[in-house]
Amino acid sequence: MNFNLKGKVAMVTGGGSGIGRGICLKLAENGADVAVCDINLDTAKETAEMIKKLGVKALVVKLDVTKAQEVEDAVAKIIDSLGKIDILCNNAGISLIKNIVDLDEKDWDAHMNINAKGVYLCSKAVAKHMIARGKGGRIINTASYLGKIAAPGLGHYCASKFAVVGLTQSLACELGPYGITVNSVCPGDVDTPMMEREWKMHAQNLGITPEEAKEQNRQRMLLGRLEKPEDVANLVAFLASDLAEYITAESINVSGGLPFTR
Amino acid sequence: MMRFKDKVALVTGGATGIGRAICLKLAGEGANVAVADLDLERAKQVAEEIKKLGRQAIAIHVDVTKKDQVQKMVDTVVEKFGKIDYCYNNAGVSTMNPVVDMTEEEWDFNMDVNAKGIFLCCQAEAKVLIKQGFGKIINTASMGGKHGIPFLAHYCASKYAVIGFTKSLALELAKYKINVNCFCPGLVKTEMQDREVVWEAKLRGMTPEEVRDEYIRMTPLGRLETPEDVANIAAFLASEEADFMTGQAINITGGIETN
Repeated sequence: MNFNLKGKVAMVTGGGSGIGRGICLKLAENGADVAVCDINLDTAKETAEMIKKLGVKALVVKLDVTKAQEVEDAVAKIIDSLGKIDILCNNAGISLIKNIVDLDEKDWDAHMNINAKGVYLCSKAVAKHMIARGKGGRIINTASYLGKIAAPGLGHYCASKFAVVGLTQSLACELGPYGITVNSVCPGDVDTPMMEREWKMHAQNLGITPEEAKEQNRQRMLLGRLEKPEDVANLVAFLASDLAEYITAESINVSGGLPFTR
Repeated sequence: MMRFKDKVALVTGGATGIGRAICLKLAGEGANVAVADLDLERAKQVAEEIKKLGRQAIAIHVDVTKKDQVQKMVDTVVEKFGKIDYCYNNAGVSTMNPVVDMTEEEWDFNMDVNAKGIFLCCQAEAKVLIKQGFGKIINTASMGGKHGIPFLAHYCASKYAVIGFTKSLALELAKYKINVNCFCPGLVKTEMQDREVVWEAKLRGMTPEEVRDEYIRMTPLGRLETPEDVANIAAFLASEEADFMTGQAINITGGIETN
């Protein structure tokens, strides 16, 4: 299926790996030019090379989403190079498994700053451009199924992802009059470098190997397999397309049924 | 009723508004109360009101965004009363602005007090409750933690965070039989609301009175919420009747929020 994003420009944060890379490639496959933003310039460059092979433009931007000035500069650079931003995917995120009584203040701050404040800073900068341009736009945030329900060992992560879901709704109210839709996607357990780290943490806690932790996770899934970045990217591409122009303020699960498991 | 005889409650943001109402409600039913607030003078006034009800009270100065001050607050309560039965993490702030005009300072202010403050307080409190083997944590969220509201994106983000955090912590502490819940007030007549109607009036080109009238029209039960309405559910969550409730975010909004 082609969502026909030809001529559109997308900005994707955390585009260097995992879900972000999946989103970049899917949007590019559907015709969009893509600005790949990541704190890791090397992986962002790899994604950009993959995008270029699909016959669209790619721009690499080094970006720490917690720094307001860097965000402003990144947005200006993208508009300068690619002409505009039609689609903003706020996808950069981190995770850590730790109980609240053991959680360091710096880890709380890192989660709230990258996962939540980063969405605010990027949305603010890009929304101003979209409003000034007067042609609407799409803001699509990567929340999580843990933005809707809780999990032990992830209080800080849940707090940050619940925050994204709330921010999505408020922002949708504010930007609706400008034809800008704001939605979130809520992935489940996606086979990415971030989950590889989580399986390692789980394995340590359970005294098993990371491979065993991953396999246990797979076996619990209703659909019998782990989620792929492409599963998330398909929903993002749909939300970015004209087909989704009347969808706003939603936080949609693409989680293979999580929290329900076998 | 004396549901809380000889119980000890800690209430942050206890000097005014919802926090003050919680302090007085619990004291009225027998509890001794530690009134913690950034504004020590007004916390002392509430402590005096509590003492007039025949209970013990202390006023504690605390900035809930400072880990060392939070730890000191919890230590002080344990030192004075020997235990904590109910931890009300209620301190909160708000500002109003559309996201495109919101300053980074506003974002940080709302997230730090409303969300991080709850984390820091709960962490310090949980260690005490686990050690003593009993206790309840009751956080003040908001209907802004259940649906988005224009001009309050940062506030909603912070209150959604409170709900997600509360639910996770409930799962972590369940094995110690420690209950963790929050409640979600609506449009409560407090000093915070007095400030908000002025901001909202300015942002929407209305008068504060018109904004307040709209609040009343928005409320199915047809009046502004009082701090006492909130204190009633806050006290219920502390009571034995709520022993089997944990991980909940309960609306107390006069019907505005039904989800």
